[in-house]
Amino acid sequence: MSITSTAQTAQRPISVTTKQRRIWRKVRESAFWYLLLSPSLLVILGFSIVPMLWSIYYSFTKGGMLGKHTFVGVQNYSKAFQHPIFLQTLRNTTQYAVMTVPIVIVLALIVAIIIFQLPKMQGFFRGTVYFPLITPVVIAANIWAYIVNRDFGPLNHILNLFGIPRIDWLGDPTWAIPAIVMMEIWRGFGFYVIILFAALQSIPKELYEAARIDGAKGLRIIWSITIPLLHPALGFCFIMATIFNFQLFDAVYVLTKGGPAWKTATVSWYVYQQAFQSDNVGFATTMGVVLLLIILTLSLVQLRFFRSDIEY
Amino acid sequence: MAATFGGVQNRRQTMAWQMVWYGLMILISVATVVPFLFMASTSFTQSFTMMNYPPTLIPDNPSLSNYYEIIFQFQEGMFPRWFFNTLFTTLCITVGSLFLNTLSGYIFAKKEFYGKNFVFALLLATLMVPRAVTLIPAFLMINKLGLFNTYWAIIIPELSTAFGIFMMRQFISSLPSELIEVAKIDGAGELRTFWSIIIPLSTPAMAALGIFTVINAWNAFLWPLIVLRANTMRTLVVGLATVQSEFNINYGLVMAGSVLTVLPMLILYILFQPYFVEGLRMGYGK
Repeated sequence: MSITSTAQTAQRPISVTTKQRRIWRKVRESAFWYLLLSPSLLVILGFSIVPMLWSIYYSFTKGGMLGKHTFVGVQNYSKAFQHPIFLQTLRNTTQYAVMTVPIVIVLALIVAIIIFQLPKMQGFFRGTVYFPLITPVVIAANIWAYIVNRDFGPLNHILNLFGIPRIDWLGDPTWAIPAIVMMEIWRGFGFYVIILFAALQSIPKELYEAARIDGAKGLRIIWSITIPLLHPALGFCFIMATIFNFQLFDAVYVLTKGGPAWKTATVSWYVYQQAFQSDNVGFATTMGVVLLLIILTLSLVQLRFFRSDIEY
Repeated sequence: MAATFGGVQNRRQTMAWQMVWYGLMILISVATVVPFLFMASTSFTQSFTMMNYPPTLIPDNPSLSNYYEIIFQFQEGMFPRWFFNTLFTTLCITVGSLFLNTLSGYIFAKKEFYGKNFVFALLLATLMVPRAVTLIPAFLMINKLGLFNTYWAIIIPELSTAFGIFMMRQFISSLPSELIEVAKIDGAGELRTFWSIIIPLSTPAMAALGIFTVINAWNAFLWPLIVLRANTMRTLVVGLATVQSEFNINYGLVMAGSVLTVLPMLILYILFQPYFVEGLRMGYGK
């Protein structure tokens, strides 16, 4: 191999041929790797980027699941931003996220720190708090419907013991969103506990030693060492939680079907309802695209905000 | 580790604090798990609604009749059929996606080719695309391919995931490249190297990714709800959710079905616990 190549290059201008040959070889190798990557790329891009572009196209048209789509320009968008139900679902979705995300992360942070400093049973506690996440949302929501049931639910029973009158959690417009938020927190916080726990483990012990020698202790250490060093992990948790919660669907499907009076409907739920029950594909994709833009913007803003320059 | 956040305190004080933290964690763990105990408890009672008031965790007259009914009588054996559907699709998805994600993760970790960074960034960017925006065209695509109401409709879109590729790439990057060089010198081809060097060395990561994939596939809801129409094709989760909204059926029966749906995942979760936490760390942790 090496002999032939020197023999060949001796007859031609050296730099050009070897460079060309190297490029040609890399092209062939690239083609080979792309061939092996193609099933993965087809599936992933085929079920994300391709449908996304397709949705963007449909959002400028009018039509149902089957049959022709006629181009209508930005009509769907102008309709969407005057549409009372869509605006309601947009407000609801924001409300879910604003209520769930901070609580779930603060709770997870506290629990992760508590578990981290226990001498024993760390694995057991991590295992239990994560447990709800291995169950289907549908089943967890079903159980939750029982927990918050007005007449025989344990939650009202406990509140009753403290003299608080029964609340019709899922039927009362003011309490329906909090009831679903509580479920999302209960079911989801274990995920962030595991992530933050892993991040805690990666903080070098020497930093704590140094702080202790300087006379810091307890909460002071947590506030001025742990939290700043958890910055990247906390940022990751915030972004994930925002993306998850802006897409809330399963719990709404099981618990309220969007009711009472669209008070608990999310954008995802309304997209589903418009597309698969009202056959209003143009409008449904428009709302989907608006949701995409919101999630994208929020993620980018958060990425910027949490971009950390702390290295350890 | 016990004294990580504590200062120089006397022993008794430390002990007292530890008791407080243990107590608090036990409380939180109980609160997390108790709702599922209500599920189990209701599955042993016969009631159209959850009539027990005040709520009790131990039913008065426990019986297995709900389990008997859901397995043998419910809609002429529909439940075992749902169970089979779920098991079959979960197995196909898991085996297929473990292979493809490991292969792609290996290529992104150890190979150089044109456009690698761009394609990898593109894959990660897909994680931000919400389902609401992909749902409708994906459904139309499945329809056009003639896969509506078939197992393929739920298997194909899950055969590879950006998260899975990312996780395998992270793991395989940490394997020494010399191993691959040695295999090449020994005359092994690219695929042979992948099969007999990379796959055996990646088993811890594959176990972790595998259990994630199993749980996600088993619990999937929105997509199977849309692409499976016939009752006989439904998965457990979709079946339980739709049957409940369509018919006014015995609540205990639904809970028995739920227990049978959660149980296999619970067993897997307990068996694979170490891999599981490790997997979350590899995939998401820093």
